[in-house]
Amino acid sequence: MLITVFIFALITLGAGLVLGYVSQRYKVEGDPVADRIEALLPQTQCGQCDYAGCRPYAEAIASGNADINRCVPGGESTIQDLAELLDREPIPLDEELGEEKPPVVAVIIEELCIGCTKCIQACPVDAILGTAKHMHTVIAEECTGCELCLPPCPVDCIELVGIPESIDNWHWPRPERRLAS
Amino acid sequence: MKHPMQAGLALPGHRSISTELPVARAPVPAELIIPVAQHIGTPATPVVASGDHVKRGQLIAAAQGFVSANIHAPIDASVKAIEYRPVPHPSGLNGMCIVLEPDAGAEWPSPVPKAMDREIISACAPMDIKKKIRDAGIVGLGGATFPTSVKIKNGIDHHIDTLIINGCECEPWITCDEMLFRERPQHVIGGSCLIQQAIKADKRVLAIEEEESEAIDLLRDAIVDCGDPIHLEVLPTRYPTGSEKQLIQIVTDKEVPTHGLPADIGVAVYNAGTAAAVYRAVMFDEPLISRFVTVSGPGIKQPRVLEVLLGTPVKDLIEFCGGKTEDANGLIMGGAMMGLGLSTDEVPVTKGMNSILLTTPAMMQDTQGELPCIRCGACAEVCPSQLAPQQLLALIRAEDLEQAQRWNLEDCIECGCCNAVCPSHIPLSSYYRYAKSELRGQGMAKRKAQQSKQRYEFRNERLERAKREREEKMRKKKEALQAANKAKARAAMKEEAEAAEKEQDA
Amino acid sequence: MIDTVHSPLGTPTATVATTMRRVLLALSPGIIIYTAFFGWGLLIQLMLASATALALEAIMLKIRKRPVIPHLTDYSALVTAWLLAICLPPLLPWWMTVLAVGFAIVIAKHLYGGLGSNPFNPAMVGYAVLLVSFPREMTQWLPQENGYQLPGFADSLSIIFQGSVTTHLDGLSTATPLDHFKHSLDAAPELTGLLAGKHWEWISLAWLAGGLWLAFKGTLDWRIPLSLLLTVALFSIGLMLGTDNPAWQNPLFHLLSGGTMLAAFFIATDPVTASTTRLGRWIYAAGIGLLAMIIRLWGGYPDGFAFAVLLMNLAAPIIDYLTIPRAYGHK
Repeated sequence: MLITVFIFALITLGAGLVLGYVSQRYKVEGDPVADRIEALLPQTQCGQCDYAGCRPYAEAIASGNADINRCVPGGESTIQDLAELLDREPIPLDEELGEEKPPVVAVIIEELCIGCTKCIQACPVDAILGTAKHMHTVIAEECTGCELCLPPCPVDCIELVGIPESIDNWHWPRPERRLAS
Repeated sequence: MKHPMQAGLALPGHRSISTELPVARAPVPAELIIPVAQHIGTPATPVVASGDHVKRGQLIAAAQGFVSANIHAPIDASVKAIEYRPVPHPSGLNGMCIVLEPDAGAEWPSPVPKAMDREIISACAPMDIKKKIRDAGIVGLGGATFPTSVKIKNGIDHHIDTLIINGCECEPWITCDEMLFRERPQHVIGGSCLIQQAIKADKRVLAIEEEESEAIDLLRDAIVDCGDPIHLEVLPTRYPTGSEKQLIQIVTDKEVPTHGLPADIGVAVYNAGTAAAVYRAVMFDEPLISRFVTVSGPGIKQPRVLEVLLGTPVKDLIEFCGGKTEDANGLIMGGAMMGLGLSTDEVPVTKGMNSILLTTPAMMQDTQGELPCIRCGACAEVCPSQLAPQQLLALIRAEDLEQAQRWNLEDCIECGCCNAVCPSHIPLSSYYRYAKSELRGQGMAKRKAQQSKQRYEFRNERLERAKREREEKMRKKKEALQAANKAKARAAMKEEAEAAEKEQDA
Repeated sequence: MIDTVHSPLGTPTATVATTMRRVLLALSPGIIIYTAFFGWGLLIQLMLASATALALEAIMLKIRKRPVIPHLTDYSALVTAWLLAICLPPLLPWWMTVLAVGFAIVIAKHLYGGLGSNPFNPAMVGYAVLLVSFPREMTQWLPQENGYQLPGFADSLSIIFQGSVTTHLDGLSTATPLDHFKHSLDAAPELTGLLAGKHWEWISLAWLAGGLWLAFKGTLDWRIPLSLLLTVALFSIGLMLGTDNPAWQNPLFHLLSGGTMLAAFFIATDPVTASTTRLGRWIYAAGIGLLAMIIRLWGGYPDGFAFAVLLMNLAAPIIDYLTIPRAYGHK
């Protein structure tokens, strides 16, 4: 009886030592899960998820403070990717935050622009070109459609337009199954 | 390892119906529609404006950047407009085009003389050849439309031991290269000499399928006449022998590494039509303004091969070939295995259009319809890239594109061999086209997201830096102020002390 | 008016129905020889199983809202039914046959997603369910002695549908040669034919002939029967050299007894449930051969192919995953 207890205690101690050693020796710096989550987010930096950018949101998901359905620009495909990464069930987008929309870019109506630079300061990816008292314009290729430039504009001269389908961004459609009837 | 001769299919060629008649020159149309994006790479930028008059061979759109090609006016004309018009693309969308109105009575000059002068050829310098190809706007005429001068440059930068001129027109119905061999073999041979000169290839091979027997005879005669040492390689007729990767494996027994180029293994492949265009460009300074096009299929009354000015609307070609038959219903650019559907015949002939097929409902009749995949593996047996199409289908249907990549989806050449043997009649290659297109789109989205992230981080850094600099400035100002105050205080104290001393003295 | 249609153009000549019909044709010689040796039982079972299979398939297709005629006419249900009927004892009560077909078609095939989606071979599922549930009836085979009077057509019908005999017959239940050699050590000359087990050797040769024809036609992948038979042969030779048991001294015995040939050419080759890569198929079939021999020698059942096939069906996805073919341009 005593021998059994002794042997098991020894095994437990041994296992504990091995695990402790391994956890120190192979420790990974940083938070790899948060990195992987961030890699799946669309990097719009729009804040629609109520976090100050994509990285804070990723860290919140990693630490369990946020659910995976808060990214509006990412939409369903991002939720699916996150669900797969974290081995969870995909859930629908949080309705309170917004609706999933097709991708858009901002366009400044030049006749109305007064050159106040408020939108330039608001853009998280520096996609607006311009300076004080000069025309502002959005660099379409860099615009992520985050909509952060709309509220600051005092003359409401920024519009969101859908990205038109052109030969450059056209994809082959998913084939339909033509089951015999 | 499966040799492409074991994979692939023996297909009915449907060649003789369009090779009975000699090549005819399509008449000059009322309007020439010239898209600025007829090649892989950046579209060309127009250098003419509406209302300008241009002469035959004049540059009308200039190449932008390294991977791009020039575009020239095919005939004396005036620029009618520069606008969006239907272009030959599977999406059916419009593209930016330069629309020309040929001058009344504008002539299409007779073809260049046929004799090949070896001395002149061997006197050309490689960089001159490359420049003339670039100026002439030549792109791969087998359908890939890759700018040839870029390929030549790549060939110059690598050691090339085998240059293969691809005359294997393996896809059913397409016969334009065969007619080129029959009517202008010297141009092909001359062009191959020039290319070999430019890229300094050790060996030169002209590959052709044995089905094209008349062409082979005429080529042999031409080779003897020119006294040219090119090696004529006659290959058994099999689809897809003419695919670049498979052709290289058959001729040289080497495989092009995945995501690599033939130049990486010392091989260069050029289409026979491209070689002929190179010849005309270098010897006669003629830019690429016309090409041979096969008009065939069960839906056309008089199938044949035409020499066409680039920009000619397809409907003009159809009319010239006797028009559509009663039951013609579809229009395909390309062949039966890989061709892409066009939604209108108003689209123009472009540099990459080697064939127009008019289809009939009888071609698509299917009594069984599509059934579920039974994993029989017939598709894997014929795949020239040695993939497992049955597995790729299951993964793509489950939208698991990551796993599909692991099963080598990106090596699919979309040849369509798998479709032809599937007992369940599943359109397999349309799934792979879709999945590859999705992956490309996802790749682009990821790159854009990466770039946005970088800009975001840079912006944050910039703001941080600005903040730091401001604080630094404030701090320095404060210090300077403090130092000044201290100095003032010391000076005041000194004055007081001196004054006190003075008083004491007095 | 232009209908935009992209490649692929044209319709393949191969159809699922032609593939399945060829399989049925290839089974026919074996069925004829089987009937010659063992009477009408098999034919009655075939008809019973076919009718049940088609009826159940139609019902399931309707329930699953799938097009009925195209799927019924692809002959896949018939192939399942015939294979099952061939594996079952010829005078099995009708309701057991119906139960087996029911399990095969409804549960093993349609509840897993229908044609192309079933992970387990439906015929083997049906057979295994019966074998485990009714071991006694499933091992009652007809005697093979000379001079034994086989039941006639009417008698066979009554035995199958009523479970009784109208004329006196003795010894309805005997063991097959495989069964005998499993449990006893003697050579049993009365159960030995020219090459292997009496009667069964000719049936196996008929399956072999049918299967070879299918292999030449390209209907089945030749790697599977070759790998399976090689594995069984090697195992047999090992037994012959390694033991003194008189039963194992003939290396052809295992190849021509029981379900070896049927499994090699008709059951293991079912493309839906087999491994799908070339190398994977070698491994899959070898695994079946190995497992079947192990069960034959040391397991609880005289023949092991049903369970061997089902076990390797489980392994097929991982075999595929580990044998991704080397694509052009890869090392």
